[in-house]
Amino acid sequence: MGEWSNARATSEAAGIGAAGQVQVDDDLALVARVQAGEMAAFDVLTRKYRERIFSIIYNITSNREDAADLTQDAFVRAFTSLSRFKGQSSFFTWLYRIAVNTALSHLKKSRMRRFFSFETINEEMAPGEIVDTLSQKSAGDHSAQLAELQEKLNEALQKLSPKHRTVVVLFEIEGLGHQEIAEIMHTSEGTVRSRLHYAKQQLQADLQSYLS
Amino acid sequence: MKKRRESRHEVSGGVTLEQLLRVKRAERPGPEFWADFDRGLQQKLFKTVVDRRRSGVRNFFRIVLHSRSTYAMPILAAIMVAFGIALNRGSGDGPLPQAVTAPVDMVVSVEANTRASSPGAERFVVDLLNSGGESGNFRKVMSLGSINTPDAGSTRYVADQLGSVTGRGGVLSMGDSF
Repeated sequence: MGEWSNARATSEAAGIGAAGQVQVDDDLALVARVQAGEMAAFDVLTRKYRERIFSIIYNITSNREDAADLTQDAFVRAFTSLSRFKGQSSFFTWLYRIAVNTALSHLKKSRMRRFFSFETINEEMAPGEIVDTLSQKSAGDHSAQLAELQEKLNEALQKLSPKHRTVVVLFEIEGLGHQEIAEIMHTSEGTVRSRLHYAKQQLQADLQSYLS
Repeated sequence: MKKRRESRHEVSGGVTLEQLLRVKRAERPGPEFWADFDRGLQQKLFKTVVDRRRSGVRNFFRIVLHSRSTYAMPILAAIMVAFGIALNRGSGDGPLPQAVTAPVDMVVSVEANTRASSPGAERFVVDLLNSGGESGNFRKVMSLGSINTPDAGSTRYVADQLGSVTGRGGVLSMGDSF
């Protein structure tokens, strides 16, 4: 869980904290090593970001197999374009942009034939308040209830347009800040806020039965 | 409809949309997924590096052959002749592996000499000739120099990959191959 809060902390507005700055510097050092021909440094970057990149792509595409392939493709694209990375944005913003573009162009290509396949929820990682609510309200099987909730949640997310879904994924699930999302999506902060507001309204309406 | 009403009663009471969306964070693959993922990524990177090398050579010849320059054909001919000579010399005056046995010392000494004492090209050549005394020295330095280019990692990567495939039964792992 801490991973996501760290991401929000490093990204929020221009106020990158000390920990975030160290992370950015580390990445730039690794990038410089890859640019100098040291492939092992790319291995380090891959391991550092693969979970987050997979999570973004998975939540945009809603297909775990496609997400695995597209995550690999995003890393290959990053590798082949790394010589052109000039450090004008942080490495992870640049990498996230590649990931988002890869996912969105995949969705565009496969608009007519879309299949969903989801990861099973790791119950230990599910938010405590949701699990508590499930325990209070029902003595039934938590896994089944979580699975049902997951299904409804994914259904609601699928009703959003890819761009609205991407903003929700980056803000609510990945914990990024508005400014950073704007940078990743090549748009203004205002557009990000408005997309987020609209998307949340839609989700509220769709998930009304689950909300207090 | 009845089922939907049951759900409403089961999950309600102080849950916000943000909390609900956080459930998505718990959808995470297990370690075995990452093992497959690494293997797949490794193969894709390997293929990319090999394809880049191939297309680099192909593009070079395409540019030379399709160039309208009057110098294109003579340049190509010169390259081929030089390549042929290099091959002949490689097989004639000493085994190539020997040239690879002491590469690091040699490059270090050449680099040290050029940096410290002689900025000029003349001094560099003199140092180079003095450092080994064998006829194959230039070839050694040239081949090592080419490894020190920014694309050197790719070369080493491919070499390591081939080594790991042939030497260790084709099992590729991220840490090993780089």
